[in-house]
Amino acid sequence: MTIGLTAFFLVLMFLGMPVAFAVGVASLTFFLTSDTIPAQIGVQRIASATQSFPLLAVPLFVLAGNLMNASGITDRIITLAKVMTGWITGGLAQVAIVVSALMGGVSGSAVADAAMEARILGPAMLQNGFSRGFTCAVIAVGSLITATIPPSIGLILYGFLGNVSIGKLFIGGVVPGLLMTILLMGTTWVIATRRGYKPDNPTFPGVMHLLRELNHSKWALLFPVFLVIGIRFGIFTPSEVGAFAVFYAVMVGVFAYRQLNWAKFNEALRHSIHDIGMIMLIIMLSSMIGYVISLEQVPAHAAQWIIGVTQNQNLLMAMLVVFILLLGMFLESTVIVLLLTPILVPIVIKAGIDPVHFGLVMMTATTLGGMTPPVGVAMFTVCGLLKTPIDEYTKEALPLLAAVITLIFTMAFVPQIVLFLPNLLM
Amino acid sequence: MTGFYAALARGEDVVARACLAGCAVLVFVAAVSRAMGVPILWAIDIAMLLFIWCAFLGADAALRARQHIIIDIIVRLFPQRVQRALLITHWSVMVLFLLTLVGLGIQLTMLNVQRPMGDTEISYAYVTAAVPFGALLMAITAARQLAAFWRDPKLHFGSGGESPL
Repeated sequence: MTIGLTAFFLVLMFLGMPVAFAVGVASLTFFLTSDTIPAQIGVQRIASATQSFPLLAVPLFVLAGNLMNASGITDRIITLAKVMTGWITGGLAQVAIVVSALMGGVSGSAVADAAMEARILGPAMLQNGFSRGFTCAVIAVGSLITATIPPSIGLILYGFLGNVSIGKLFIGGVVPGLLMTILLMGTTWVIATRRGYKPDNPTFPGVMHLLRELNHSKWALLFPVFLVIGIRFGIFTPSEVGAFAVFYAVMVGVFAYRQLNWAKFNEALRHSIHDIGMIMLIIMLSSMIGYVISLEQVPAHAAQWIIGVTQNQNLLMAMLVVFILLLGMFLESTVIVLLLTPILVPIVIKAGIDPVHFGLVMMTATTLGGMTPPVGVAMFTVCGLLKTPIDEYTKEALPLLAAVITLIFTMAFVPQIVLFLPNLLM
Repeated sequence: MTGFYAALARGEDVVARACLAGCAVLVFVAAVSRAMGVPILWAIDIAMLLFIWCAFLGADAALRARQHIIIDIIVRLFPQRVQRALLITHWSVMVLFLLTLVGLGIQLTMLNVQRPMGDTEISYAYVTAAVPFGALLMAITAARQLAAFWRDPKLHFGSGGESPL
């Protein structure tokens, strides 16, 4: 039954029905044609999917991210990144990557970061002589850093569905996020050197200038520190940190930067409502499929089958990463998390893999699916905004994608990269 | 967009914004009160009630703006006439689906009138009522979009919306 249901969903989705409705229509058809399960249970699942305290972190961090944009925090991060890295070979491309890393500490969404950078940095990069494909590739692939450094909407979903500590997942994302930043900056440096892309500034603007910009951005830079401390000492749960982030963004926007007014506040609320409605409709409607999956004990069967294939942790990890990367080329990231997390977490636990370690590997690979052609929402967003054909993007994105995939496999085989910090702190 | 539907959209926008802001305030208050040792238990329950309403009203707002994610990589290759036929089929199926949800949601809400929500005495029916209400709003929106596709042969698949991850 699960196979028929999944096939129906995939057909509807690839025939262009909105993803949320494709999953909803397929699942409801299952409930309506079942003799044993009343259809109200399906609807019951839709409502109960939202009644979970950890899931409240999603709307709160979405709102916090939009408020940070409206409060002037984003502008200051961009100025700081220009001073920090604008003088390195690759200039604005390096700036774009560092902006993703700095935004990572206040925002949990790769696509939101990619869209923001494509609007603000994209046109300037094209003017400075970067090719369209390279500009889009750096912005889209770079935005993966934002989703890896805490907070992260994807990790909240993984933790919620797999019953894994969201706090530990957040702290586990710090080191991989920083490594990804270094790796992407290095790759960009090599490409920029070969092509002769000029720096944005001819020279380093000086320590005093850097310190001044650090001071301007201090509220943005301090937030991730508060976040990690808050979670580390158990003062706040991730949902509470989300509410704290909203409060923080409002305070900084109103009192420190004096940029947030009533109109901008409402605009941030309105934008957030659209984002939340979109993601929550997929989550709510796919909770019906989750019921069928657990009813037919798919996770247990899948675990048995996979453990039968291999007992080797590294091989299992490698197989799962390849599988997720392939799926990510064709499926939307949210759908992959929602469908696979409940199935895969029991499998890796049974194989003796730490679910926090697997979570970071899986979510990095899944979110990268948004940047790999032919289907990827971060890619569509950036290429759409900068009017770039997908094949130009693909050609230029390959070295950056290769760098990230190398990192994902390294994370998969060396658990300490992910687990070192959470084990040290928690 | 004029008259009744415009007023509906405006009302929906105001209520959804209030729900989201209320949700943030309540979770914040609950966290602070918990840290101070005087937890306010009902705050979280109300926050989750506001959350489901915000989610459904937001889903309708996103549907009106056609922001829901669509995978159009295959259908874009089809001839214009086939695309149009698919689009009209999809949105008709969606209207039917949403109307079914309205019916099932009303039944479910009736079943939950007696059930209390979490630590409060408020009925859980206020939570489940968001399903039929939200589905009805989306059915109206989807029907209007369907009418627009029917009238204007130039409307076609847009490339996907924004993903939140």
